[in-house]
Amino acid sequence: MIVGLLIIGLLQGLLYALIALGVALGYGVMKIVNFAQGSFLMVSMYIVYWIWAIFGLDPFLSCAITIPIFFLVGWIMQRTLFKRLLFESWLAQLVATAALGTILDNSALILMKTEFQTITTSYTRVNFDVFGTTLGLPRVMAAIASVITISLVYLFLTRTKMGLVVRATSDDKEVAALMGINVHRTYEFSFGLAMATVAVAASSLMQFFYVTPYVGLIFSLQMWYIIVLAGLGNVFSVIFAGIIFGVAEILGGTLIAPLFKDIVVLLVLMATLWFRPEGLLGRRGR
Amino acid sequence: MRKDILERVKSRDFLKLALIGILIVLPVLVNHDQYLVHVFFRIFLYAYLCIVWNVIAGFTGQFSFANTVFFGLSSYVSVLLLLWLGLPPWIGMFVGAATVAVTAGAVFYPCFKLGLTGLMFGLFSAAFNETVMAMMKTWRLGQEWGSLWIPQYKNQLLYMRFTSNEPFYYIMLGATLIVFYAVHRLVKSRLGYFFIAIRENEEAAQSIGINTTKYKTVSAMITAFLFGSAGPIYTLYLGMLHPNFVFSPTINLEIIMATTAGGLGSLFGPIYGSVLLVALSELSRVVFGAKYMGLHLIGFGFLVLAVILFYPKGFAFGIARLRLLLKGAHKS
Repeated sequence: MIVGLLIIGLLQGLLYALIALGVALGYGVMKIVNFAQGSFLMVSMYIVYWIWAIFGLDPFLSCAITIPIFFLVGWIMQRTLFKRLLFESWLAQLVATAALGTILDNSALILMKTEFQTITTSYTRVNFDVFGTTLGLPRVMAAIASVITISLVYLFLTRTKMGLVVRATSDDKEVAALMGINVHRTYEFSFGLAMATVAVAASSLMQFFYVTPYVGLIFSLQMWYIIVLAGLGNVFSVIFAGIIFGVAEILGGTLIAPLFKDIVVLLVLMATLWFRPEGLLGRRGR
Repeated sequence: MRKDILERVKSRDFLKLALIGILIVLPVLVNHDQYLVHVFFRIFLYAYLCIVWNVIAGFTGQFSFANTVFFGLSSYVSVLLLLWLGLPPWIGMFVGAATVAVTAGAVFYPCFKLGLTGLMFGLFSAAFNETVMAMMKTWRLGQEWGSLWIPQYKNQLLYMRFTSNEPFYYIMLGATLIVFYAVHRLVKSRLGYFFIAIRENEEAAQSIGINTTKYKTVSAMITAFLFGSAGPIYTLYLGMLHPNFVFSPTINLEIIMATTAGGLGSLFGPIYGSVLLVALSELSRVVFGAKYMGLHLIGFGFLVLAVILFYPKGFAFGIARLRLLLKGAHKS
């Protein structure tokens, strides 16, 4: 039973890591505190839902449409709005992006009403029995998609020239600019990439989760908890932090009571910050 | 020249007094229209909350997102004391406020001691806020999931269970005026200068002998105490206690957005922000009705976005600049 729960928690955690990856990239590269990402996730989930409802396309196949759209949206957003926020304090960034999120959420509320929408595919109800707990195929597929996306982003950042440019800009943008890197173009590209991961996350999430106009609120703060647990500016440690979150949530939810799943997660976070203010995997000292 | 300044100060004070006078007779002016009285109650409530948040965020520079937690916990303490022991809320609200002040000290002292600052502190406090809210939701109090109706008492004044909105209007108006004056005095006091020194440069403040950990905790405790005093008033106004109302994440976000848009670290900024927020929300409710639920939040979102983009320091500083510009134009 415990082993089964740990596996479910691990799969859940990988998806959380994917959801947080976009924001982690945004903070890691541009030092932008983005609280609108949950709302972008919601928008993307609705697009995936409508593509499925109208054309009957599988959520994973609709990635082919949503990824380019969201890359472009990210590019334009960085070019217009986020560029102007780069030099503000983090609270101003937070408030501005939260305001943007509020606009998106409530526009969706007016357009889509409050109904819960879910997607049912041919494999939605396929279940496995893993060490005494049931595990749905959609969750496994979502976790696989997360692993693939995170690996691709990792390979991109470490093995390609553009990835090197992004990392150099994130390290020191003045020096990068002196080396002939177009910092703003790099930022636009990075934000596009971050938004593309959101599109994948939305497709994965739609496999087994519902979408409502306020669904982004569930994730907006949670992404930041994961990032803080990982240590700020540490892009790839969000994987470990996400897994810790997923496992803590499943264990707390099943071993104590369903209502306690958030409490356990948040207590883990608070205890971590009390003992390691720089985050679990963050670097000590500034 | 000097006489000129004196006269201007006097005329400004006169304006303030006139405004307070108008607010005092307002329920009579609007013919005891319960809806309008309710709108003004909300304006005062938000102004109060934003002024209070300004103490820790605007003056001390610690952006705490643990706001509604103190508001809500104090409501619980005060209402349960009323229901179980029959303690009048007039005393209960201060018992609740003292309790949450101690809680704030206990939770935040270790954070400040360990050097949790900036974004990390903000998210820690957000997590604290959410944890307590989630815990209170698991408590089966009253009917369903912690919603508790407060019964009507015969002695309306003693138990703060008025049947009309006006008494709450005056209580909230009084509380807001007191808190505004108190914060105004605080900023000019020794303690206030310590807070501002910490905001401006924490390391420099420490090097001239300010115990930053201590004063940050003091600031958090003052904030919690003031949030805690308002909680029971709001709960008794609603007539029911429910975790979703008193710990509302929406109110929390609205406090933060309204204060930041209004002007962090300015005395009048929080008031501008909350007046704009409530006026917009109520206006859209009147004009569009319940058909478009989130419309006022869209409007407020655009407003906040515009303020941050054009006046990153907030609306109050925008007004100050405008006034300066007008004065310059007038002189030349």
